[in-house]
Amino acid sequence: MSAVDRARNAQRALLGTLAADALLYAALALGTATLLVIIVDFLSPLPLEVRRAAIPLGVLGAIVTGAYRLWRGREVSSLRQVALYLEELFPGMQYALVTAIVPAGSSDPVLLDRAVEQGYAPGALGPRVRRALVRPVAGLLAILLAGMAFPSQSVTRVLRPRAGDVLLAPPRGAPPNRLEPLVVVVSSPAYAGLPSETLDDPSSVRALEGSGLLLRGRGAMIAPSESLGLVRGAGMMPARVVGDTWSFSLTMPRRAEVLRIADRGRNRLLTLEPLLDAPPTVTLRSPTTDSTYPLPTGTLLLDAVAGDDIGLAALWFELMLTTGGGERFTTTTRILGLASPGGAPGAAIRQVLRLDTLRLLPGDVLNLRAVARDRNDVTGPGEGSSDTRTIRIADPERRDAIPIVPAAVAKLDTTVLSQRMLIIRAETLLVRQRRFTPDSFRVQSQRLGERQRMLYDRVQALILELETATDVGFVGATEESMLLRVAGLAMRRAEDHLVRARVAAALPEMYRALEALDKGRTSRRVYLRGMLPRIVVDLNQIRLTGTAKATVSPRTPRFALSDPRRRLLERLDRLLPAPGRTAPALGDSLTMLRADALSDAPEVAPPLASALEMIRAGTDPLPQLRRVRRMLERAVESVPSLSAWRGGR
Amino acid sequence: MRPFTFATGMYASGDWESGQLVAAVVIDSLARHTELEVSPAGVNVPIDSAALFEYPFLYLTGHLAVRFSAAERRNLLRFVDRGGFLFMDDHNHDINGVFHTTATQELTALFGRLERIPNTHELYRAFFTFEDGPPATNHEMNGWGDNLVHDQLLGIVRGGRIDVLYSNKDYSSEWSMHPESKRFMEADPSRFAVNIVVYALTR
Repeated sequence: MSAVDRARNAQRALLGTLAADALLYAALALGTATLLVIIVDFLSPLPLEVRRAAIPLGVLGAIVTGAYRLWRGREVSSLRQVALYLEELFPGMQYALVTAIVPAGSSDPVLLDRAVEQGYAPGALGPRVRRALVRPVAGLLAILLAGMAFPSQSVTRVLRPRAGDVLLAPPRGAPPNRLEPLVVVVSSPAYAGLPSETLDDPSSVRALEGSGLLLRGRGAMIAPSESLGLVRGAGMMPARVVGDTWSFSLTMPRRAEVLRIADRGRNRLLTLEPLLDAPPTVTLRSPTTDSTYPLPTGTLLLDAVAGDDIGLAALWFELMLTTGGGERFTTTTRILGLASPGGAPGAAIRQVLRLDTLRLLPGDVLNLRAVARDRNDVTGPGEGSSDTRTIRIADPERRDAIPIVPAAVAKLDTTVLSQRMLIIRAETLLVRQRRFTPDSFRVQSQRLGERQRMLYDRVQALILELETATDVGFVGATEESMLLRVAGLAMRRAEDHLVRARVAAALPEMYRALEALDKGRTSRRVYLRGMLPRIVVDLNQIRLTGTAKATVSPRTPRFALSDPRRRLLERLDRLLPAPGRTAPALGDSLTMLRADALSDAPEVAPPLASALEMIRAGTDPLPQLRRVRRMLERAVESVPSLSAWRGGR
Repeated sequence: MRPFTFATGMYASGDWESGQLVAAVVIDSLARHTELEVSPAGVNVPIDSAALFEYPFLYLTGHLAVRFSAAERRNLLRFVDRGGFLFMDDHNHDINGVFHTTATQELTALFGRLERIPNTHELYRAFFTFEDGPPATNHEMNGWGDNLVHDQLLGIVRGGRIDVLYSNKDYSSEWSMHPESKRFMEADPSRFAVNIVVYALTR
């Protein structure tokens, strides 16, 4: 064997040793990190997120350690460095090996090989390699032994962290509190296709209505299980015990509720926040309005879209055909265009309906709408429907029988016409701009602006008429009034441009206003077949002429029922000024208040949750509670009662 | 404070105007038997308009399908929440006619399940006393020969009082006559209307 071959053999052995060293030290770093986390978690249970991060961080540390060890031994990759190392180990070679690898001047390879052979002892590397590896191996063994000293649950919590393993942590306190920790396993209904979820120590649980809830705790062996119960309303549910674990099974209710788990004088509150599976939303895109057909011929395009928060099961058009007159009517219901979206969140259907195939007669009424059903097979199915369009077939004979009082021209119709006229005038002014001097153009534009302002005022009056009732005030926005508001806004912008003689800039706003006015005009659906005849009763002539015996007594006029938000406000007011109330007591009261707010005033539930968080964190929740109070107060004030009327006897 | 005005609701689907004489007959009975200040004529009010909130009592009837629009639903909810009283009567005299089916579907979707009003309810003693609950109509007694008597009214009861009263006894036909013709009758057939209005205004 030549001297170079010997050096290469030694290099291979050293490279192997270096790799083993790097691996062992990497494993040692990972083991040390894991052991440290196990120890800390054993002494004071760590949150799931921290434990989940422990192993990835340990692996990162191992990679860094291994890389460092490789970097430290990087000289092994150079044959010359290996040769120098061997020369240092075996001085008897008298640099023959280095000379053979890095030839300098003229030298005889045979003489060099012989010199190396005489001075080199291949077996001498073995003990050095073993010594290098003994230290990390010993370290690993020590970590393994230390890990074995901990309970297997503690090791599992770090090696395989998962939601719910809070129950594996060592119990605390004396006597141990069986209500802590608490694990809740949420199993959503199968139709929703959602995975089950495990929550560690939750204060509230949000899940679909009808979800299965499994509440689990430990320490069942510590005291008789009879002392442990779940209080719901007036009833108490006993715990189910398996080994040292207790549990309660229940279903997510429809209304938010606060559960109380009671054990030997200790209580724990858990808020159930149901997520209601909303019924599908359905929009009938065609036909857009009710109609009366002179003859039962022609076609109708039916077009509808539907959407659902979980998934749609079916979508169809429903036709109700009513025929008859007087007191005898016959109605048949038909289904058209049935589609099965198979759980898709949205779907659309289209169908062309030929009226002559329905054999309609004069006076018949066709009510059509689109209906969708969701996949909820637990609390549903939820069914949603679109607005109904009523198609009537004119009856020439009936027309004579119904007293018709001609309606006045709708104010909105005249407004639309005025806006259209204003646009024509603005466009004309723009075309003829060159014929005007700048001053006269400005005057003309400002006149249009004034007209636009007058139209805006008329729209405001219409909005007021739509949204307010006499003696009551504001009763809420309508679809039509919202569109008029859009039109009004565009009119104000148009007026602004016109006053500044910017006619070209005003026109897009004027068109925007016209479009909104047009939509508002077609949004009303009331079909007036004719106004009822106004029969005036001569009250003075008949007043109290009846002779039938009656129970007559003074009466109090009826009032609106109390708004549930007012009751929440009163409860909050009772909580706020109570001095000396302890934080846990306030927290419990707010938890109960929040559960009711979830149903009665959902808008204040988030700030109430923030206030609860503040109490848990030991900070002052008062500013947040004052905010809740302001929100409730505003909501209560915005719901006036109906106008008063006289009771009488 | 304004006198009581009988309001007939106008809705888009069906035939809201089928009870043409009902308002006059009820107003006549109120004036004949009570001191209640009442407007001499009824009004027709689109139920999707703000005008609905000017009246404490709303009467809806018809023979055909009832399918409220979104605006109509929203307004009816607000009306009842604000203390309004809704009286809905099936102008057909049958069991599961189209008005009954669709109207009860709509009411259930809006207010929850309709419940049977017991025949001992104070509604039947609010002014006149009806020992056996809702009085039978001529149709039920001998008009149609089908012996179809609906023995109870339905309603939405909230906070211990009726907010929505639903009848499929066809009072709309029973009260469809000219008020003048009452003088030829042995008893005023619209006395129960007085009970409904007095209950609606005072409970």
